[in-house]
Amino acid sequence: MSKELLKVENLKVTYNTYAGQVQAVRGVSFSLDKGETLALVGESGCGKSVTARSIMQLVHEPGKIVEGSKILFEGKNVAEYDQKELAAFRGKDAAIIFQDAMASLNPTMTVGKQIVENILHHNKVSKKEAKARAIDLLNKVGINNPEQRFKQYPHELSGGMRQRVMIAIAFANDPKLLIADEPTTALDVTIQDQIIELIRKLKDEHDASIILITHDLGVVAGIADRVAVMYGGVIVESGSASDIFYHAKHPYTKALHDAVPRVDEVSGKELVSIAGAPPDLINPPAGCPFNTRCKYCMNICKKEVPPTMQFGEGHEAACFLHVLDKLPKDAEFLND
Amino acid sequence: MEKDVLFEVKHLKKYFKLENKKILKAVDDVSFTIRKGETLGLVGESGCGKTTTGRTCIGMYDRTEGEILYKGRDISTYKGKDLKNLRKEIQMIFQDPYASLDPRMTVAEIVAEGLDIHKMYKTKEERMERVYELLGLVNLNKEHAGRFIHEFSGGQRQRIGIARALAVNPEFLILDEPISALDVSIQAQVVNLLMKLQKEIGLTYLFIAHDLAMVRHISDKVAVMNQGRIVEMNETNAVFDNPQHAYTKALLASIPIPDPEKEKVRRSKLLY
Repeated sequence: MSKELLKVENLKVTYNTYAGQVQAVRGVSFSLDKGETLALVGESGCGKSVTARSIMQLVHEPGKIVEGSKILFEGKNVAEYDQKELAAFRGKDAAIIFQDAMASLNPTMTVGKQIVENILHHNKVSKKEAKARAIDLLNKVGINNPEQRFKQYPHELSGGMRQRVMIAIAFANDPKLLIADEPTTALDVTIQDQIIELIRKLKDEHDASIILITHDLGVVAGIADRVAVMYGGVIVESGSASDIFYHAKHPYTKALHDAVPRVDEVSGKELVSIAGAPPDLINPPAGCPFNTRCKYCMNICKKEVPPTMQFGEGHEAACFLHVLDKLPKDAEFLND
Repeated sequence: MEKDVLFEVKHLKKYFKLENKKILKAVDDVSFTIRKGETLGLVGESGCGKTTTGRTCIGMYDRTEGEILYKGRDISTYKGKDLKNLRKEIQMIFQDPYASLDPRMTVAEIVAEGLDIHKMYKTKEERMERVYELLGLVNLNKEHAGRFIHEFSGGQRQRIGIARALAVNPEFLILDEPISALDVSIQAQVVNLLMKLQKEIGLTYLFIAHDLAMVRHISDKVAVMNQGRIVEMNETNAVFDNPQHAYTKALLASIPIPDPEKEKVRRSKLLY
């Protein structure tokens, strides 16, 4: 039986800027079971990265996690951890890797030392043992000549190799949760595929859970058990991978599928473009965040936040289209 | 009847001299032809030489060797008035809409710069009318003309870049990763616009990209580049459905398919 590892409840994150308060995440709730892979999908600015960083408590000024947001890791609220507990949590219980491995690695330290650092921080082992483990990890993530690479600096490695080093650091202490924030976006397709395969393999070996943040539905299809689609700071639809890919309920999810051409299909159709641009989160629109771009937008969508509807087990979508028959007769839902 | 060849590259080479006296063969003996009104997709991974090919084609880099023929005539033989005219007919659109538009110019100034240089209007009113027309063509409106670039999103900026290129009535566009900096929903907007313009104005494209799915969608012919050479070139569907070269096969096999069932099948065949 699967057990819940992480539960996020009503997460809200704001950023104070000169232009006003950006409501980057506006009430996100989801849970993650042990051994499960959840993909957070959405376009830039939808709040998916901020959600991930909140779990690691990596939201810094001017950003703020609004009080009342709960991030329960094995039942304990990460938001209430003190510095010491956080230091033990990060890098051991949960690890995160980012899109730009060069910016995440320290350019003045050899890659080996950076892996050793993480091992020594969380374990009482000798430097020698730590080094042996680091070399073993480098080998595991598919880096040839690990003894040689151990002594090299990040700039001496290629982009794919650097991401492998990041993964080695992340898995150094058997984390229960790995957050991968666009881990392959900066990489070529052939390398991307290898990295995704590596993450899958290590996840199984270490029995870890994964939150994968990406905008690439192809990557999602290959790795995710469950998918949450974010738009304008909220989750508009979530469900199993097959729910999202074959039985999408929210117009945004459907539009995302139709907007990308397929490499395995003969072209010909015009791509379905989504008119307009994502909402401004300083002044988020009233009602449904997608209302300005939705083909099916009704009057009520501009006034009220759509209720979350259940479609079978674990499949939810927030859209008025699915509650039409439940609205009162005089409800103003039709267009003028 | 076959359409006329508009652009042709024969045995193009571009070598860069490096500090240590080594030579980097960025483009090494590349040949292709593009017919009028068609799109050639040039694909490959980063560092394969596709961008250098595009830039050498438009003369941003001096070629090391080879021929670049536009309408049957080598572009190096265009001089004076002809050259100025050539620069109208071939335009380029870049990947990064943040870096390729001047932040201190208004949208109208950016779009009209080509018009100014080539003196393509008689009165100021005519100039602004043409700017509005161009903005309309790329689905922007009049009110945008007086604004600065920082006020626009990535997709809007890329459309401004397209309007700028179209201002001088080009026949041939070199598009260097025109959509890779954009979100998927916005990519579709730009690609649909490019395809619509091609249909309506009869533009010819050299479409440089690493996104194979998008290249399949937009191109008539595809050339696959690896390490400075074209390893395979054919009609689009032939390349994708029946790839011949080992590199093309490997490249195609590594693309994830947004369909969990098909993706499971593909993953089961992976060798790594």
